[in-house]
Amino acid sequence: MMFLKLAWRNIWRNKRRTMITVSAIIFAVLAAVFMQSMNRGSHEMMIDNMVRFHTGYVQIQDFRYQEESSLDNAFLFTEDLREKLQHIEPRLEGVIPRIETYMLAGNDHATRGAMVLGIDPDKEHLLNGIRNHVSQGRFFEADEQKAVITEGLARRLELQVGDYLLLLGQGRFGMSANALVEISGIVRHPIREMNLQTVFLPLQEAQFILSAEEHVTALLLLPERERHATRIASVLNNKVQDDELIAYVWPELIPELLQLLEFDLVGAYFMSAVLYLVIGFGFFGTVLTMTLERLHEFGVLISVGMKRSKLAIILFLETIFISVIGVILGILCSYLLILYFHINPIELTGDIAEMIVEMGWEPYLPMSFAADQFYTQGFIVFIIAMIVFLFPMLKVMKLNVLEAMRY
Amino acid sequence: MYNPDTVPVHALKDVHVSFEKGEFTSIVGPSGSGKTTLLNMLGGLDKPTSGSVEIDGMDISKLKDSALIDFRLKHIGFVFQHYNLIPVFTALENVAFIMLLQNRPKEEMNARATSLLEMVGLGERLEARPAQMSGGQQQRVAVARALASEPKFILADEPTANLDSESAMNLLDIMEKMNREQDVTFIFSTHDQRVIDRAKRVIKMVDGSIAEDVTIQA
Amino acid sequence: MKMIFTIAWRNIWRRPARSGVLLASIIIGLWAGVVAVGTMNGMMNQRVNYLIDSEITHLQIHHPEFLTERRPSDMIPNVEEIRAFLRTQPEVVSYSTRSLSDGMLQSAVKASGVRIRGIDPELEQQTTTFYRNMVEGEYLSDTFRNPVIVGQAMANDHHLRLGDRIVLTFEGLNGQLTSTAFNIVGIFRSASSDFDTFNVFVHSDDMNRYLGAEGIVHEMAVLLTHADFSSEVTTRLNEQFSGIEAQTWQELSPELSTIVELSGLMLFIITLVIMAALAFGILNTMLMALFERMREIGMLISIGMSRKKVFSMILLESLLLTLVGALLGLLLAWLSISYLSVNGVNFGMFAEGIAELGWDHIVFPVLTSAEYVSILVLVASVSLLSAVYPAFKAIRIHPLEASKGLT
Repeated sequence: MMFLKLAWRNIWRNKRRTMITVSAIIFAVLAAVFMQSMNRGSHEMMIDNMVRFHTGYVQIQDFRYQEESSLDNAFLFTEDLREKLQHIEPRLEGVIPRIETYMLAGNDHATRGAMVLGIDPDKEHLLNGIRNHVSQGRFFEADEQKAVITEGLARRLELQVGDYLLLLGQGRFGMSANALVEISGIVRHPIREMNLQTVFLPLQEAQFILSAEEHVTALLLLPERERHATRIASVLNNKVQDDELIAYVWPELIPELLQLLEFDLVGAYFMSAVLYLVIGFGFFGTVLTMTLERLHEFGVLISVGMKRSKLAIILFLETIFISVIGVILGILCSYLLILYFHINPIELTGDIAEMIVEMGWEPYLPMSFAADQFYTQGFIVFIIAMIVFLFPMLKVMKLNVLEAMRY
Repeated sequence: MYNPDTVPVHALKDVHVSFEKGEFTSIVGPSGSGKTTLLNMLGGLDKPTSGSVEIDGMDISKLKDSALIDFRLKHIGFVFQHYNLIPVFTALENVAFIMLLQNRPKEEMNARATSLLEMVGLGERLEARPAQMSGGQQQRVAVARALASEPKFILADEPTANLDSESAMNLLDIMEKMNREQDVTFIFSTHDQRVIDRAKRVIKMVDGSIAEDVTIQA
Repeated sequence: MKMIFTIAWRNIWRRPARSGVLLASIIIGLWAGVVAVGTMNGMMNQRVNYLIDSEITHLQIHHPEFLTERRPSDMIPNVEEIRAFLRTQPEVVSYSTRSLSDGMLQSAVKASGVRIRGIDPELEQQTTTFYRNMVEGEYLSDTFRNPVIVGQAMANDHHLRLGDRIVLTFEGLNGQLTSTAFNIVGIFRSASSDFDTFNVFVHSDDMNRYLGAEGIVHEMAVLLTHADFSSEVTTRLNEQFSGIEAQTWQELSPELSTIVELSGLMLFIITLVIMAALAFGILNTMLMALFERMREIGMLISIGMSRKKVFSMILLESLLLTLVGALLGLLLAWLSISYLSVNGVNFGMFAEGIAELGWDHIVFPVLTSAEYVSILVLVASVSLLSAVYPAFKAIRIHPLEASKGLT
C-alpha cells in the first residue's frame, strides 16, 4: 500500500517529466487508432454497401438456389411466411423480398444484358435507403407498372425518364418473358458493377412478367442489431428446414470480397507494424533520458538502504500508473478525433475525387468508427510502453551506486 | 565602483553597499541571510525590485537581457560552487572558451590560456578534461577562466565548499596572489572560515540586511 | 563558430547512450518509411501488372463510339493499316484483335447476360497470359464446331460441363437478334469470379460469321515492352489515325486507376502519421535531455554566452545528429531495397487467400528516386523541427533557475 502511495506521488513530484511521458503515450495511441481507422474505413464501406444493397445481413433462399440460381428455384412468399418468420425471430426489423434474373434490356435499337430485380420499394428503402439514390425522376410505388434503371444502364442505352424500356428473357419454367415498361426514374447504385446494368421493377409486376406470381428468389433480412445476424441465421435455419428454405449469413454470400479485403489488410498490418516500431523507439528515447536523469536519485535511495527490488517495484508501479493514464487519455482523445472525422470526413479533391464519384462513391476518405479499434490499439500501445519501461527497472537492479552518485 | 541597492521584497532589504577595485571581500551570513541574492545582483543574474546596481557608472539593472549577457561576458568573472566547466572541453579549451566568446584572436587566446593555467599551477594538465581532474583542480581552472576575460571583478560563490584543506589553501593562495600582484577584485560569498580569515573586508548579513561591514587594514 | 561546432559534436558523443537512441530512431524511421513504401508499391505493381498481363494489356484501340454505344457496327475502320503501323513501333511486343458483343447466354438451367468475346486464339496467346487460366478443356481448339469457353463461376451457375451446348443470343450488324448454339470446349478461372460469370470466349471467325461480315474487329489490344510507354504509344496512335480512339490501361480500367491513386493517397497519409510519431519520439527525447542539461546551460549563460550562441549550439547538435542519422538510414534503406527488389519479400504466411486470387505471394519492393528523396526530406525536416522546439526552450532558461551554482 505504501508502495502505491509512493509510486503515485513520485509521478506527480516531477510534473514536467510525467507530462512529457504521458503525452508520448497519448500521441502514440492517436497515431495507431488513426491509421487503423483509415485502413478499415474503405473496407467497412465496401462491405456495408454490399450487405445493404446486395446480400442483406441474412438471406433466405430455397435450399436449391445456391447450386442452381434459376427462377425454377424461387419459393413461395406470402403473408403467412412473413408472419411465421417474424414469429420465430422477433428481432427482425424488416423482411425484404426480391425476385432476380438476367434479361436483355434495350431501347429501340440496342440491347444489353441486365440484372432485373423485382422489389418492394418501401421494404427495400428500409434496408438501404434506395429512394435517396434517385438522381432523376422518382422511384415507383409498389402497385405501379414502372421501372427504375441505374445510371450506367441509362447511359449505355441512352434512356431517360419517360422513355420505354424493353425487357426480353425467360421466366419460370421456361416461359417466355417480355415487357415494355415506362421508366419512372434513374438511380445511382453505389456498387459499380450493379450501377452499369440493373433494372428495378415492382415485385408484383416482375412476378407477373416472369410467370412467377407470389414467388421470390430471395428474402433479405434486416435485423434490429447488426451483430445478431449470425444468431438469427442459425435460429431460422433450425425452424425453416421443413419449408425447404435455408438462411445464409452475409459472409457466406460474398467470400471473394472478404478474401480480397484480407489481402489488402496485409499491407495495412505491415504499416501498423512499422508504426509500432517507431513508437517503441520514441518511448525508449524518452525513457532512457528519464532514467539517466534520475540515476542520482536512485543512487541515493539505494545507498541509504532501500533494496533494489523494492525500488524496482515502485518504478514498476509508476510505469503502470503512467501507462494507464496515458492510454486512457489516448483512447479518449482518439475517440474525439475519429468522431470529428466521422462528422467531417476528409474531402477528396481533384482527379481522385472524380474517379471516386464515377465509381458511385462519395468523394470522402472513409474512416472506421468501430469500437474495438480504440481498445485494441490502446492495449497494444500499453504493451509497447510496458516493454520499453522495463529498461529503468533493469538498470536499477544492476546499478553501481557510486557511479550513480556522480550524475 | 559604487552600487547601492534597495530590495524590499524577499531576500534583501534596503541594502546600500559599494565596492572598490582591488578588494578581497567576503560576504558571510547564515542561510537565508541574503548573501547569495546580493551576489547574484552584483553579477546581474538577478534584478532588484527597486534601486540600482551600478558598475563604473553603468546601471546594469536597467540593461536588456542580451546586453546584460554581453556585459557579463566582458566585465564580470564567475566561479561557481560546482558545474563550472564545460565537460567536453579540456582545461585549455575551457579557459580559451571565454576569450573565444569575446572574439579575441586565436594566437592570443591559446597563449594567454596557457599562461593563466600555468599561473594557477596547472601547466601540466592543459589537455585534461574535467572528469579527469580533482575538485580542487577544477576550481583552479575555473579561476583561470574567470581571469581570462579580464573582468572588472570576480564573483565567487562558495568556491571552497567542496574542497579538502590542501586544495582549498591552494586555491586561496592563488586568488590572493592575483589580488596582490594584479589588483584583481574578488568578492566571495562563503561560510568557510579559512576564506573569511584571508579576507580584507567582511560584510556580515542577517535577514536580508547588512549587519556589519568591517574592513581590515593590513 | 568552430568552437560551437566542436562543443556540439563532442556533446553528441559524450552521452553515447542517448545519442545512440536518437540516432537509431532516425535511422529506423527512415529505413521503415522506405521499406514500407517500397513494399506497398511492389504490391500495387503486382496487382496492376497482373491485370494488364492477363486482360487489359497496355492499351486498347476502339471505334470511338463503341465504348459507349457498343453497336456491332462500331468497328475499327482500317485494321490493316493499324496493324502495319504497330509493326513499326519499337515498343510494341504484340497485339490481338477481338470482336465483342453483349448478349445473353441460355442453358438448360437459366439465362444470363454475358459479354461475348470473339478472339483469335493465336494472337491472344501472344498478347495476354489469359490462356493460363484454363482449368479444363482446351483454349478454343478447332475440333468442335462453334467452340466456346466459359468461366468456372458461370459453369457452376448453369451446371455446365465440357461438351454441353449453350445458346448465345446477340445483335447482328443488321440490327436483328441472332441465336446460335455453341459447344463448350473449355472452362477457365481468372482472379475475378465476376469476370468469370460475365465473359465467354468464342473464335472471332465464328462470331463474325454470325454478326454478318468477315474481318470485323471491335477491339485491338496491344502489349508493350513496358507499361510506362502506354501514354506515348497511345498518343501516337491517336495522332496517326483519326477514325479510332486509343486508350491507355489507366483510362480503360478506371477502377484500377482509382485503386492505385487512392492507395497512393492513403500510403502518403500513413507515411505522414509514421513521421509524426517519429517526430514526437525525437521531440520527447530531446526535451528530456534538455532539462537534464539545464545546469550546464545556465552556467554558460551566466558566464556570458549569448542566448543566440546557446541556441545555435543546441540546434547544431540536433542538426549533426540528424545528418548522420539520415545518411546512415538512407544507406541502410537503399541496401535493403536493392536486396529485396531482387529477392522479394515473402508474404507466404498470408498466402492462402492470395494464391487463390492468382497473385504471387512474393512481392518485389520498388521505389522511384523521387520517393527516396521525399522520404529523406520528410524525415530530415521532421527530425529538425522536433529538435528546434527544445532549442527554443533552451534559450529561455534563466541562469538562476538552472544554475545551482550561485544559489
